[in-house]
Amino acid sequence: MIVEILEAVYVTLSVLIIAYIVRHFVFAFTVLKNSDSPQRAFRTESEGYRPTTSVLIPACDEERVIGRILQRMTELTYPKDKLQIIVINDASKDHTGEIADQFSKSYPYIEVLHRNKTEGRKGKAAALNAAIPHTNGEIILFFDSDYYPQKDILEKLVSPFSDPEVGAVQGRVTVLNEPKNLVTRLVSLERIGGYRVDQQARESLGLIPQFGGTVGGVRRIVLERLGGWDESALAEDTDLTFRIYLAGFKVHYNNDAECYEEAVESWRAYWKQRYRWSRGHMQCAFKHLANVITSRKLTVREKIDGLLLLNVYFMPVLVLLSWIVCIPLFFLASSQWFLMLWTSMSISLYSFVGNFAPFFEVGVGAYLDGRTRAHWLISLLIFTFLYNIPICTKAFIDLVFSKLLGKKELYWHKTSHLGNGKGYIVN
Amino acid sequence: MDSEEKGRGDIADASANNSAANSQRRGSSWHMIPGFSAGMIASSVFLFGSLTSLESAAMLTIFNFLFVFLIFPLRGNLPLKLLTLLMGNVIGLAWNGLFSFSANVIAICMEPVFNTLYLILSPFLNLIWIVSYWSICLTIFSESKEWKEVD
Repeated sequence: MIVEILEAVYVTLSVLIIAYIVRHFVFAFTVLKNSDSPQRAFRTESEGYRPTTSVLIPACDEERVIGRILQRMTELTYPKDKLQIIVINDASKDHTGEIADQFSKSYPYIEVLHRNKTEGRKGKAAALNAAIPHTNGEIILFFDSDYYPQKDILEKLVSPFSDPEVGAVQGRVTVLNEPKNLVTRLVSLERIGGYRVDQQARESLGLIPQFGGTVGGVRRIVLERLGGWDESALAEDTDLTFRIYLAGFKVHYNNDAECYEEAVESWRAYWKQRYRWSRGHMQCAFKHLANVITSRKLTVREKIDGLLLLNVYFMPVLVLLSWIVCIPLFFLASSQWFLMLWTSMSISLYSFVGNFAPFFEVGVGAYLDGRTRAHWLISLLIFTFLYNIPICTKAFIDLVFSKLLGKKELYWHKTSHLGNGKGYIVN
Repeated sequence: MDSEEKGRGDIADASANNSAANSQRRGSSWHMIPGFSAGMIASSVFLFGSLTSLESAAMLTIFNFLFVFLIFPLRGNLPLKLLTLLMGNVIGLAWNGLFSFSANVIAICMEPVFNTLYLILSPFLNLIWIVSYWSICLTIFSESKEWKEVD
């Protein structure tokens, strides 16, 4: 009886794992196959589309990096008479506010919203919500303070909004400090797989590209209709993605709109960042699963992709569970089919890495980016996956306990930024 | 400051060149037909022949499937792709043979402990050759771009 139960659990888990592997394989093949043909050419169709645009840059203790992004904002090619940049100094304890004020004095389109200790430091979503009433653009774009965008990124990000169905647009994130160490190199590989292939494929296949909350924007009326950002959500970006889709709008991914970020440089920082992502993503899964299934505004393929996307951070936990189930099964009922399914475990170990881009997605992304030496590190991605197993498991346990105890966490879950990123590897 | 800004300009230039680079890496979709045929033949030999264990045959089939669909559409000449596919099968066969042989030998000496260790470690070891070999093959068919330094 016990063997039968274990077998049933193991088969169910294997089917789930295989479903994800097939999904990502389809993504990799689609992007590779479509690499010849240009993506939906919003740029050429709507070259003159220049709506009024507000850029929000939330910053909490970011004195090391805030000057860099503000300097870049002054170099953007977007018409300045249609541009408004708002820095949200969220009760910073360092010189973030002073640096932003200096830019504000020199450039009239840069404004600074200072939040004091009473109203500030309640999280990124709260800071962004506080700034929305001060914006005057039809489109509201968001950049984290450690990011460094292309000069013409605004044109690329706003062009898709010429389609009234588009509620949000997401650009590509590339790691700026990749040469720093092994952690930044592996994070960079995850980013390549996650954006160049995963997001691109979801765009090409008409699925659900994810709005990342930075290097992207939302149509103002959509954001107002949705009531702004959910301040109680840990992954406010994933939450907004699903709320946008459930409201009947789409998210468009533009791979050409590149922005450079400073990746985490240590395993400790990696843990902290991924813990927040996984816990927030799981929180969204609990919140939106039923809505996605019952929604009449989503197509069948969007529903399937939405369900897989919402549950992606549960996969490391499920892989761990299937591993544990395997041990007694191996000794009690080692059969032919068991060995066949056991191979799915092998692939899953190399498949659900970091941002959950499998090794073949990362490889295809690196190939399309013209990266050659980066491929050599792909085998090492297994360590990031193994590292993600305890991260996601802890996030899951903590989330369940916080749900039971009704605890809410409204504060900045920050990744420390050092302002080190100046290099960019292209091979 | 000037050189730094100039360097950052290079970043934008580098990314702008990405789309041009993509068009240069146009693949050869029709290469998948001979590739698929070769992969099918190899997989059939492993699955229905008595060369390897079922577990090894499954791993080699996965390798052939991955390789055909994700290497053959890339830019590059067909004979080289077929050669790398053949080499991959030989390496995979050798890896699995060596792995099984070692496992059997060690199992005789320290059966209960080893069985558990084998169970935990085999998923890593089973696939590591596929990931490594596939990655190296990607390097063979990739076009290198130059290194850029911002400042």
